[in-house]
Amino acid sequence: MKLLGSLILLFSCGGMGFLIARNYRARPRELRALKSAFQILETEIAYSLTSLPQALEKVARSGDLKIYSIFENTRELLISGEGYTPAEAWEEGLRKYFSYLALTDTDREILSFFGKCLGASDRNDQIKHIRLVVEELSRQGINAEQEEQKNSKLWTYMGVLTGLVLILLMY
Amino acid sequence: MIVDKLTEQVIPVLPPIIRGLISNLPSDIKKAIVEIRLRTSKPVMVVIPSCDRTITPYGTISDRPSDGYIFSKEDAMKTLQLMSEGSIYAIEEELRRGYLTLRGGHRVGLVGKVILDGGRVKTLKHISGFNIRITRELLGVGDKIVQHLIDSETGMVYHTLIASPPGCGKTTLIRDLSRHFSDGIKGSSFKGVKVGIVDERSEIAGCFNGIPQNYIGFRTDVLDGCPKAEGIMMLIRSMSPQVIIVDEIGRDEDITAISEAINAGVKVVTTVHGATLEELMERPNLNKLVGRGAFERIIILGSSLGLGTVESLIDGKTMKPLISCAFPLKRIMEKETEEMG
Repeated sequence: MKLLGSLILLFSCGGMGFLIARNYRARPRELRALKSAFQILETEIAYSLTSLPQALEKVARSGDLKIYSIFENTRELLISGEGYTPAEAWEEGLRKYFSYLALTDTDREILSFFGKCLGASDRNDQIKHIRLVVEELSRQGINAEQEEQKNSKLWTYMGVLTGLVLILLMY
Repeated sequence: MIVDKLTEQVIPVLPPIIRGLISNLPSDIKKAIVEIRLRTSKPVMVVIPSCDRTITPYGTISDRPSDGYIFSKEDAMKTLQLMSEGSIYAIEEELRRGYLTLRGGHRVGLVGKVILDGGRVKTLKHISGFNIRITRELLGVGDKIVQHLIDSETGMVYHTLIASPPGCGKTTLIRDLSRHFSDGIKGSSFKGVKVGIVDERSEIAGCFNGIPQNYIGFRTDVLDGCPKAEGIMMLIRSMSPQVIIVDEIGRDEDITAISEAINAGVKVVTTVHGATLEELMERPNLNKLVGRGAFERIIILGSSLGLGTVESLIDGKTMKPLISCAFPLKRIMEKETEEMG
């Protein structure tokens, strides 16, 4: 009986550590995907003057990570004919899907900042704005990678070790 | 039908509050709306034939400006975003020209602060006023006149010039003529020819994203938003049109391009501002064409028997009139005016 309990304890602590570590690994990946998504958007806006819903559709189709749902959701609201401006539609998408992402509050602020001017100014301004956001995301990306290296292994071991300590205490 | 157009094509580009106000108007008013005027810090107005009315915050109409719902700066920003499908960056050219076309061919005139670049308009900023003109497509206005514009021997369209003062239905008429020339005429030997339209101001075909929103015939190709002179040459070179339709010619290069087209064997149907044949002959560049009989048919439109009256139809070679008295283009036009009033 005690043996079974210890096993459960070990697995759950290990699992928890593993989950936290996975979050640290997912963030750099999501940030990289966001960066390339914004770069696609920039190309669409700068060179082909595609309308925003079409540009967003192209971005949303470029991958299958969860972050693309925000783009897809924004597009759907824009073409719904319910009077959403791009800024409102983007914020709504963030509200709906952000919690599924491994991103931090600072990342969310950058994304919110991006939405504020989305589609609402001339081409040069849009390009500048997107580049600024991409730059910020790159900075966050470097930071996220450092944290990944530092923390992902740490949390995996910490989970297992906490489990072991608890088992030792139990006996 | 016009109410459907309003609901499906125009109302979705308005900010939610105004959308509600206009949807709630009685349907006889909605049917009669010619223009919706939105001006920052001023009441929202609708223009119905012969008068304009403000819309109150309760969705009724009133003739006192003080009752109206005030259009705010935020409303203006939102309207522009909705009209551009959230892509203001993609309508720079439209902002420069001061108007854009909505789905369905409705024209929106814009005013605001003009930004100049080397003395030329670069773009509009702080858009503060919108004039949404509801398009009325009058299919059938050309029915009576079209038979006079086709040479019964060769079965080909005549070079035609339509002249009238502004607002007498020139554009409406050539739009319907385009349909006739392109589709052919039922019960006659004229089976239709290839038509090319150079639609500089998107008024004839009312293109939205390059696709004509008005019915202009199935053999018709449209160059949307293209300067007339260049457009005529582009069409001749690439689309082999048999008839070219352009609206409101006037500049020297337009006249030169039309001469080119006539020499290339393409039939030209065009319009010009002017109330009488004498007025046309006085215009220095135009008289070169009219004077040498380049146009085989000249139609003078007026409003003596209601909007869209054919005041005279002239054989451009002999300068002799072909009809004895003025006639209205079609009853449908009067009916529509009555309905609107």
